[in-house]
Amino acid sequence: MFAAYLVPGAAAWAALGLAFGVAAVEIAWLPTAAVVASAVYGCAYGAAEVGGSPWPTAPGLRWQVPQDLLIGASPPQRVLVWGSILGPGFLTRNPYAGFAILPLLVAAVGRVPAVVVVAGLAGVAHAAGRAAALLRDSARPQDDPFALLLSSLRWRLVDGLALLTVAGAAAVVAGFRIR
Amino acid sequence: MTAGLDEPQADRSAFDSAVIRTLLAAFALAAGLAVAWLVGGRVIILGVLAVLLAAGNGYGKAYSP
Repeated sequence: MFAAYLVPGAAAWAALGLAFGVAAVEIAWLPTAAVVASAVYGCAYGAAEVGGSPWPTAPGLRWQVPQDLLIGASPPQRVLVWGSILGPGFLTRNPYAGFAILPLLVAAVGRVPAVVVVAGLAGVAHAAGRAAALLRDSARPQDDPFALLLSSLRWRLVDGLALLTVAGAAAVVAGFRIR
Repeated sequence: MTAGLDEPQADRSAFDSAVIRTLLAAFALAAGLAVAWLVGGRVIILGVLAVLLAAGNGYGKAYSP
């Protein structure tokens, strides 16, 4: 099951990294702009999430995997569909702002092949986390909705703290680059 | 009454929560600044943080209602 998540995750993210790397050859200021954008985004969304503010909502799509894709599919086909869509994570709803900063951080790396390696590892990490959570959920009874909501709020706080850490690091990297 | 607390207790609890969150936020920001400074502002630190953040995000996404 892990492979069904990891392979699409790595492939989609590595392709994105390659695109950023190629773009950075033509647009020399792109990596520096991505570092600055990471610092600004991390501060704004990190502060909002840690402060418990409902605004701004995390950027991203609101799409969910449609049931039509799964009706009539065999169990291995279902795992393939879930893995291909949820592994990379670009297409489905994500309530945490930490996801949308990932492309900025990848773009900040700049050079091929480093940007492809970092993007691929980020894709593998995201897909592995998603698959591990799925295995965790399938091995125990489902949480009641209120407990799920409380867990989501706690994760939003953790995500906000992570964003602020990234923002601090990005601010230092930007300072070293621009000076 | 709010969740078994009277009004002053609820106010104090909210204040404590806000103080703790502010302190945690300041610590997180400072940790990012310090780590990046220690590695000499090399951009690879953002790559490492991206991988860690991606893993946490993938895992935590399962908790979204």
